[in-house]
Amino acid sequence: MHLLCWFVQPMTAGCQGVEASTPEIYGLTLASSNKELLAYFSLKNGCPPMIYQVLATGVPVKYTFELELKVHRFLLDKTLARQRVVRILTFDNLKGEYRIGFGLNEPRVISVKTLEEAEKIGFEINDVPVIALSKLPAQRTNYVLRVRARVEKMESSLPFKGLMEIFSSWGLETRWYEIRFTY
Amino acid sequence: MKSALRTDKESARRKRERVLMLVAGVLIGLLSLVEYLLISHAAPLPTSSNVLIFAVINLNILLILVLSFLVVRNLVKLVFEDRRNLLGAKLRTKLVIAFVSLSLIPTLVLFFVSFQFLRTSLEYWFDVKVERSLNNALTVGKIYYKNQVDELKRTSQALGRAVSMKCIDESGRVNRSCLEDLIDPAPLLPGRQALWDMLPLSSVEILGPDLENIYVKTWLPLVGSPPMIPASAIAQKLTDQNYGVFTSVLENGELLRVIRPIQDSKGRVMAYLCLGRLIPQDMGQLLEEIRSGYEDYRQLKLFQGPIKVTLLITLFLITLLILFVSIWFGFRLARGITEPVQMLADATHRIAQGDLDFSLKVQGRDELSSLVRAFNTMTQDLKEAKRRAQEASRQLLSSYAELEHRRRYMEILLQNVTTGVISIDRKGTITTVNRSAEEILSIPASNLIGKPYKELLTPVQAEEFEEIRQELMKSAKGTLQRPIRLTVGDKTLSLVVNFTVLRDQEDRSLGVVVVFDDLTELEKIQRLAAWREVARRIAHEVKNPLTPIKLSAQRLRKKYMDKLDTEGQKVLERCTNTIISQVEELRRLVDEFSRFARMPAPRMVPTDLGELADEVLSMYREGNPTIDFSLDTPSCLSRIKVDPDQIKRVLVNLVENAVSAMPDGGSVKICITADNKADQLVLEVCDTGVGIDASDRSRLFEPYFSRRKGGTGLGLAIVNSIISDHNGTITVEENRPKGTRFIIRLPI
Repeated sequence: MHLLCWFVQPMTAGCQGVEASTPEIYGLTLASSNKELLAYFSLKNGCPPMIYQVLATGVPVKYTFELELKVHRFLLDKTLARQRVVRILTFDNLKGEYRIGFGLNEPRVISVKTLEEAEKIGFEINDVPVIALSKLPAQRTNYVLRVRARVEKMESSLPFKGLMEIFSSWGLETRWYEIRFTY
Repeated sequence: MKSALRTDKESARRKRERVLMLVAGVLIGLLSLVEYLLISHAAPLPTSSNVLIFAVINLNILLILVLSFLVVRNLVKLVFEDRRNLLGAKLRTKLVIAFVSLSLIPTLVLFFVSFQFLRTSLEYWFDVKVERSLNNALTVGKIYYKNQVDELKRTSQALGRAVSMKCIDESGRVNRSCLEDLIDPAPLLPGRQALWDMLPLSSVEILGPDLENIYVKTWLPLVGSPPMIPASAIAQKLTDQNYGVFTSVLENGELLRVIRPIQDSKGRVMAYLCLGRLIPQDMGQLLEEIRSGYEDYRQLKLFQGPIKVTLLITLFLITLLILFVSIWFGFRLARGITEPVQMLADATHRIAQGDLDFSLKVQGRDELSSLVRAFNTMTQDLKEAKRRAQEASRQLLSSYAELEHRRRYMEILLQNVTTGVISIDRKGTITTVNRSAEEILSIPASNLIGKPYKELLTPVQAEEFEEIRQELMKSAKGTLQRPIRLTVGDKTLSLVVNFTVLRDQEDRSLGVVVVFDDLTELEKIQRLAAWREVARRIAHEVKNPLTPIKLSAQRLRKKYMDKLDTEGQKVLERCTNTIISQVEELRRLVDEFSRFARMPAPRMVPTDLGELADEVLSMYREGNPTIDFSLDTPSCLSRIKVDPDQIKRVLVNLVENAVSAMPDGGSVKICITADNKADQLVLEVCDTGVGIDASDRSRLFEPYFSRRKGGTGLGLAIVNSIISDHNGTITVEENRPKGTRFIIRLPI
């Protein structure tokens, strides 16, 4: 695996003044394998007190990381690829352990005793194949890879689930974090 | 008319509703945007999961809008109808107020009571005791679980040490028989049973250094091999600590396993020991329920506020729904009552205006529907009755028109007959006078109609009429004819009067109809004809002997003149002369008679009457210097067709009479004028003589009537005859201040 890129522009514009407890994407990096463009990033503050409170009640919390690769055009950017990475975080009150799932239909589950361990396993996203290199038009500039994270409750035993979605303010969504590169 | 209005109103209302729907659609879009913005700013919620919620909220808002619209619209409509005093509006207002009150008050009471109850219930849910109990239950579960793990850990530690010392050689190979002997010794060995009773294991697994399975031993209730634990998971666990805990959910319970490395004396990992214990299903279920209850409670507590709001909103929506349904039901019920009433009122109004060609729509089978049905039946009956009445009226009108036609015909007939007709009702009042009667009697009908006949007759005439009436009553036929001479003004009329009693079908007297003919002119003509016949005979009988008488007288004088003495001759001369002169006089008289009797037919030629009159006056001017003769003619007098000789004779006769009437002088004037309205030419001969008595004027034109000495009485008769032959009339009247005026009217 060698590094292809090269103009990594830290996209911090618009993030100033963001509180420390606000979830944010950091370490957004691109690399390439022989065939694919790979993305690496982490979620920081992915479990603020609000989410932690929900998690402590035993409700599974789904973290969805959305990746979009776009190419800049005059009027409307063209989306070349979309990817989605899912992590499901659960806390078992009886056994006092956190479980990290790697997708809705993925049987792989890791149990850890502390939240820090769970965050480390769940929020470090590595080797996400964005697009096959063969599909990237050569000699083009202004590629943009953007990522955002969305946190939502998976299921709940509460009544009036629909209305609770409106009146319970515990869901989160980060802004889009972008990285521009040429290839 | 009402149906058309209703249709117009309906289409207008539908148009308004379409506009309202459009506005509602736009509003929903705007509200969705506002809600999204609000929610987005309040908390960064994912939008994908909110579509249903937006739909629900919009539906609720729409419900509120519809409710508000319906309520406000109907209330405004109700207020306006009430102000306009429309029929049924007050009843509808009362019903709506009753329904709204009946629904609003209990609903609001229920709402507040429910809300209070809800609040109290939630507070009760989150009571400290409940929370403590749940925490304790969870703690018990945790302790149980921890105890299980701790026991497995201790057992694995002891067993691992034993395996390491006894069953693994220097090269790291595991002796299976040793393992069997160690893990499952003969049951008869002392102390073994007690050991397994104290530490009930469900499975023992020995894994190689590469985590491959070397040995597996299971006991009931665990059936079959335990599920494989992923090597990566084991490796991850063992990197942090010297044991790992894994759980697997099986059909008959939860398998709790602890894995621990087996090390030799040098600390090398020779193998891994994994001990498992099956937590029974019933116990696992209990633990799961404790966990589930605790988590539910924590969730409820965490979302206590939103739950309250949610329940409140739900309650509020249900309340709104109840209100909506009740108000709508109130309006509908009120409409169900008032609409038929209003419909009946409108229909009554239409019937009052004469419109019967409609039928009210009947819905349902309630009392109001029966009333509407009865109203429809009544309308149909009225329509049939109206049709019959119209038919009768049409026939009546037709009969009336026929009668009127006949009456007019009779009236026209009556007015145009030359016979005078006067009808008198049974009370003696004159009811009808036709035009001929007016003309004959020279009295306008308006002076007669409506007046009792007795007031119009002189006492003598009334007496005569009474006698006639008596005779009429006695008459079997009810009719009586009488010749009557009647003086009207200066004219004496000769009438033939028929009196007929009018009787109805039941022979009751309705009055008398008097029919009379004016025979005055006829009598004149008959008299003239008679006189002509007399004149002709006289002329014939008298004229013949006159010549022999005259010849005889002349012969006597010639024969005896010479034979007589002078005295005798004188006598003879005087006598013969007298005879001859009288004979001549007789001849002249006979000639006059003859001329009167043989009046020739007029030869009509266009004649200038002014010239003719001037010629006649010229004849008399020189011989009568004491009389002033004058002629007055219009400058543009046209010629008319007359017999100039006969008209000249008329003028000569009239001027001669005028001159005779003025021995001491006077004036004679001839005036000629045209009466264009009557298409007549009027010729007047006026003198200032002694005049003619009024009593003589009616007989003036009769033959042999003369007040003048030596007059034959034929002059004016001839004048009358000539004018009659010219289809004209001649009348005489007094010339004011004195004298006589003859008026001749000739058709132009």
